[in-house]
Amino acid sequence: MRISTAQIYLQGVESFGHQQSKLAILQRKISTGVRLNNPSDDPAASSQVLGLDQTMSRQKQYQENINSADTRLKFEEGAFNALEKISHRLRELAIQGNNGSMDHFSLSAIGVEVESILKEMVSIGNMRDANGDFLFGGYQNKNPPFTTTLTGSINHVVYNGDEGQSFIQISETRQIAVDNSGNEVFLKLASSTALNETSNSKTAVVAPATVSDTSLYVPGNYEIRFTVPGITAPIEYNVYDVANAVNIVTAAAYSDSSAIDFKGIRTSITGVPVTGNVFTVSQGKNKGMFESVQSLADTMNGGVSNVQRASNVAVFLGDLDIFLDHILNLHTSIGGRMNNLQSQKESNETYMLDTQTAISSLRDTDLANAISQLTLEQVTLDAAQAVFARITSSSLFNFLR
Amino acid sequence: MADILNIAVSGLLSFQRALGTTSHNIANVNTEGFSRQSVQISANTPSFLGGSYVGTGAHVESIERSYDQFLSTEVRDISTAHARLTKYAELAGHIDDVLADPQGGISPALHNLFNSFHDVADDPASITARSEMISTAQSFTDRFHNISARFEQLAENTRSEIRSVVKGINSLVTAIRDTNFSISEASGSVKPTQQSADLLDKRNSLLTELALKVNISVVYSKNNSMSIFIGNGQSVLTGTTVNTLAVKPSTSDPAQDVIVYNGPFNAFDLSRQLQDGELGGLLSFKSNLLIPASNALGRTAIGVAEVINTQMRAGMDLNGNLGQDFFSYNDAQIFSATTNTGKATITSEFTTVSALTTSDYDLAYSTAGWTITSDKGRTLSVPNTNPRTILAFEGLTLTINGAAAQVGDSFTIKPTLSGAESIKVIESDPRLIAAAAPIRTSRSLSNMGSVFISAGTITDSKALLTSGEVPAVNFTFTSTTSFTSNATVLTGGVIYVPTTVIPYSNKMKINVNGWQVSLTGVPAVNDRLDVQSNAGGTGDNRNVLKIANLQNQLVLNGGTASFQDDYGTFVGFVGSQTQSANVSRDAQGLLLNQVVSQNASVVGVNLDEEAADLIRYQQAYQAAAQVINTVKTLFDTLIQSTR
Repeated sequence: MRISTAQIYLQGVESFGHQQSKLAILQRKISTGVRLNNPSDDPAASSQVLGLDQTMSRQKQYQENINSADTRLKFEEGAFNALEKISHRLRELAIQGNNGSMDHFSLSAIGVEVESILKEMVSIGNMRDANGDFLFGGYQNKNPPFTTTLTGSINHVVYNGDEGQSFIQISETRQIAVDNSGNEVFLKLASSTALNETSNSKTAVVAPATVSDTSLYVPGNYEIRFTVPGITAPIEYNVYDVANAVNIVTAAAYSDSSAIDFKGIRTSITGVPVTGNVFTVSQGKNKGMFESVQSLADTMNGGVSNVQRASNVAVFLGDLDIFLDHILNLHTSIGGRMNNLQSQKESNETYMLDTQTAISSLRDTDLANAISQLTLEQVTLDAAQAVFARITSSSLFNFLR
Repeated sequence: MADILNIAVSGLLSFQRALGTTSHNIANVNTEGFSRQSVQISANTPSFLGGSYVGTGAHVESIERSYDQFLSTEVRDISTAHARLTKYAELAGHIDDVLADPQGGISPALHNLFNSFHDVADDPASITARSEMISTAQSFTDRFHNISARFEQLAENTRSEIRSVVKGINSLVTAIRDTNFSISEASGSVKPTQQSADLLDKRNSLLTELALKVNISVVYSKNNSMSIFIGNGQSVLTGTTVNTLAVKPSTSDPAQDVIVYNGPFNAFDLSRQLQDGELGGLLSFKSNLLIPASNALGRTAIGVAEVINTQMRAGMDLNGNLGQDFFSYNDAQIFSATTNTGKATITSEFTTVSALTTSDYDLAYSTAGWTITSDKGRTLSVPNTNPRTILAFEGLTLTINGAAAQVGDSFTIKPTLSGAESIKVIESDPRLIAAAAPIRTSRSLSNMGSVFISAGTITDSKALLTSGEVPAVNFTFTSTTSFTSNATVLTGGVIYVPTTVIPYSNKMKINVNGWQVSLTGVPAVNDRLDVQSNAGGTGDNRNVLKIANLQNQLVLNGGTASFQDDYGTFVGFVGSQTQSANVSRDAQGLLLNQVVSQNASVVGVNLDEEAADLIRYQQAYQAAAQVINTVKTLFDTLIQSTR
């Protein structure tokens, strides 16, 4: 075959170019350590790497979420630790106060301490987390969930939050609860002496009924009725025992916000009741811890008889046991969740490592392979250059002298 | 004696010409498109002398170029294909580069966006986390804008390159016409074998250059003139008549250019027929890579925006109002053809983002009604009642307004093209991010039973509000097996108006006002469950957690792809297009090398060969000169002898 001279040069130059571009690609792969510089280098791997990058980024976020969940749970744990300590002190005080030989001053000293413990409990209920949000408010975490209010003559703690529980995503498929509502922690405590109260009045409100004297307390349905027509002033009321269909209090004079006592139950009504108003007090299921503590304080402060005090303290200790059990349960569940967080963190880390390995095997240069390829390509280039020099140096014109 | 001298002189002249041609070859050893020339030397007509024919020397018969019509055509054809693939690969490489930067693509911004949702979920009341979410979303949309701007720039470059290639085609055709003219003029006086080799070479070079720009077929005619055809046999050059090409805006979409052939009888759009050469490469890059890529990017943008918007609308913000759209984006682009005679206008709406494709559509009105054809050639079936004003297909709903369309009217619909450039974060107030769910549920503290109410899910965000508020709803148990509600309730397929008795069953689901709750457990008489507006629920992260978890849900492409999958598919598409363009270009390059060397082995100059020719002709020349010398000696001898 004829070969044209230009062809020899063209072929030489082309083979250098080809070889050099191969070397340039290898150089880039080796110097960056990355095999996939453009999507076209390996389209399937590129889009796979994008997916794996997302997995990595999500896992990193889950680790952050775990840290944030851990912080939240630690705050809650702190609250539970404090509540447990308080419970023990309350038990001591209750038992101490149950001693028949205690005089009035010692009792009221106990009463004062119980009241200050109540304030401490409320402040625990109003605890804030690391972000300054209230820990026990449910979803409503911008305002203090617990406030102390006087309804009628009865001082009580009101919950302003809700039952919302927040979850944080800690893995692809797993969410973990990071708080408990104040409702759940302090208020939903089963009790034998819990009371419900409802009213059909628009002009008067009934205060939360409490068991003030457990020795007199008879569980049942009672109605405070303003039924007598023509009552003007003074306003009078009856207390009606629904089960036995008798009035246990008849035509008592109503006084705004004063205590109304019957069958060991104390409540009060504020406002102007009108004829036909009925306020129902019946047995309830849940009793808030604040209410129990308040009643202990009242028992200590109230100058009640030894028998009655003993009975009230017994009820209180029952309530306290339920509360402490409840807190311990919550505490355990928090501990469990924190353990879960740790183990999830570790398994996320393993997953991240695996993902990183997968990314690396797809994206990174196999150095051993690339370097041996580089040597090979270099040898080929050297050979091409040597051949080119040899071929182009021989010309018939060299011999025409 | 004089005979011998004449013979010698004829040899001298012939070899001089041969040496001249050899030196012409050597001089043009590096000339592009040059064909090696050789001198054909023939013996002169013998004279009949003394009963036998006596030779009378030699003369130059012709100077011919080494040329192979077949190889030359093959080089041209393969160059055309190679030019297309090279152009395509070059342009695809640009898109490939845009997506190559691992930190510059959509992916990292998408990850950051969803991580910022998680950050809000971790602390929904934090204004800082919320502000961070807005700014992360803005940089997410900026990525779309950057890439779409690069695409726009590529489209603009492609457009101007098409114009300059078309201009180049026209001027090359004119140049070939001129060369044609010179060749036929020159060959008028001489035999076909004696045409100017150099002029033919020049014309051949021009043809090859033209073939790089567009696919041509060449027909040679008798007087060595020729005609050039492009497309489906549209002649751009017949003899000395040139028909030009021009670039004009399309009638169906003024933003797009078409290539118009100014034929002898009428002008028409030739774009679809020009499939090869640089022009073919540019056109196919535009329609096979740039537009689908822009559409795919737009679809990802619209998908992300709409899916997040939908969830955002099902939430509640810090002010206690229902969530608003977080992103905005443009609706489908609709162009009415400039040739339309009817006055119909069309508006569009995305109804199902997961059903969106990356196609553009052509909507045409005929006596049979509307027909919709995708740019991939699919005809879509739409309910064929006539006249129709609402057409729904592939996630899109078109509404035809105004006066009736006329037969022959057409519209171009580009659903997702402007998605990437138009996506914007419209939420600027961090308080308005709907992180919370709009309802919360509670059990009354005085409940004696153990009935439980779930936190509730939103089934229809539009039905949540009554006179601007989420109404409070309660369920009060009248017995352990029944309850009443203050709202209209749908459960078990039955509608209960307020205060009617509703039978209770464990795990029952109740639908009210666009939300659903389930009730479980054992109720007691007078137990009460409440559902109310979640106003003030600043610590609630339920909705933003749902948004964050949209990241790995299959919400796009008919429910088969997550956002990342959709973008990954797009990157894979660009990558594989580029890769296959590179591979075909290299393969075509090898083929081109082969035919070019084959051709070069026929037409190329080999210096060794020329050196040999030089020696050959020089020696022949020297020999002829020696003959003259001999004749001189003979003369001298003869003259001496007569002295």
